[in-house]
Amino acid sequence: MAQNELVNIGKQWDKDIQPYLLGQSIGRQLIPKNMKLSGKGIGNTTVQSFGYKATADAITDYDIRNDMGSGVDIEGAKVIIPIQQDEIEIKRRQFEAMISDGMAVDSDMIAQMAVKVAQELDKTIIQGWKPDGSTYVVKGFYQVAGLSDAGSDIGTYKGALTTVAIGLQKFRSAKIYSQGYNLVLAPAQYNELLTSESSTGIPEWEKVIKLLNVGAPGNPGQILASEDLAAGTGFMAPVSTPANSIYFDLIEAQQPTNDLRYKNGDEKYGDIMLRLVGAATPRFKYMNASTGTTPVVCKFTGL
Amino acid sequence: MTRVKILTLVYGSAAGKDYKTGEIAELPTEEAQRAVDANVAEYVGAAPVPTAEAEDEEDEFGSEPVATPAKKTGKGR
Repeated sequence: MAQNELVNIGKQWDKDIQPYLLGQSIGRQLIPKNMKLSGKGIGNTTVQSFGYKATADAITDYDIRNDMGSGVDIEGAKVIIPIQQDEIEIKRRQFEAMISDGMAVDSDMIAQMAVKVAQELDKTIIQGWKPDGSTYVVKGFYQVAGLSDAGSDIGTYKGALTTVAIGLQKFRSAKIYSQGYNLVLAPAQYNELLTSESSTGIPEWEKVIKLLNVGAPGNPGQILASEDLAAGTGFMAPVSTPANSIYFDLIEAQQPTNDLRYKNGDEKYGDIMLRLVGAATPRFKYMNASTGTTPVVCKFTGL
Repeated sequence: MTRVKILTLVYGSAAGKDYKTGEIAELPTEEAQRAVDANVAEYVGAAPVPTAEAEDEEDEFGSEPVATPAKKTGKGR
C-alpha cells in the first residue's frame, strides 16, 4: 500500500470522527467557536486576549455631552493554544487483515482516539492546562471563574435551586447578562440533582432548568456533568451563543486531524503509525489582570 | 475557624457573607479547605481563639459583673 493510500484513509477517518468529537465534548457545548480566528493551522500558537480594565458608566442628560468620552483601557494578554493529541501503532499484519476484512475505515479504534482527544480538549476547556502540574498556563472555566460561592448542598431538595439563584444574583451584580445560563456539575452532584424531588414528588430538575432560563426563549441553558470537576464543585456560565462570544470563545487552530504513516518509512512491512492532532484553546474576556479571573464564570465550591 | 485570603473577585461564604479580592475571611475549617482547593482562596492561618483578656475587655463597658451560678451538686433533689 502506497503512502498516498494511507493519506486517503486518513482523510476518510477525519470525516468519520466528527460525531465523536462533537457529541462527546461537554466543553464544545459551553463555548462558541470563533470562526474568524479558527482554522489557521498548528502554526498558530497564541491568540490575543484582552480585558476592559474600567470604563465609566453611561449617563443621562438632556443634551448630548461632548466631554465624557472615556478611553477604553484595554489590557492585552496572549493565550497559548496547546496541542491535543493521541497516537497509536498498529501492527502491519493486523492492519492488512483489517483492510482485507473491510473493517478498517470504520473501526472502533479511531472512534476511541477521537473520544480521547475530545476528552483532553474538555479538560482544557473545563479546568485548563498546567504543564508543570501546578500552575495553569491556560485557564478553563473553573479556574478562570472570578465569581465564587460556597453554594448549597445539592443532595438536599432546593439546594440546586438556591445555588443557581445565588449564581444569577452574582452575575447581576457583576453586570454579566445572558439569555440563559449553563450549570455544570461534578458527576456525583449531577446524579443527586437527577433524582432530587420534594416530599410530595415534585422533581427539582425542571425547576432548575426554568431558573437557568428565566427570560430566555427555548431553554438554551442546560445542566451538564463533567468528569473534570472534583466532587462537590460546579460552575455557571452564560450559554454558548454567538452573542455571548463577548464573554468567551473557542479558538481552534486545527480541528483534530488524522495522520497515518509507515513506521521508519518502510512501505512494505512497516507498522502503521496513527496520530490524531488538534489544537484549541478557550479564550476568556473581561479578564482581571491582578486576579487572573473573569466575572463571566461563577464557580461553586461546596455543593 | 480558619483565616483565608480571597483570590477571586468575589466569594460568597456558606454563611451568606460576600468577600472581595484580598479580603481576609474567617471560614469554618472545612469550607476554608474547599475554597483553597478550588483556588478561590489561600491560607493565612488559624483564626485566633478568643482569650480570657479579650473577654475581660468586653466587661469594661460598664456592665455589672454577672454572678456565676453555683454549680449544682445534685444533692437535695
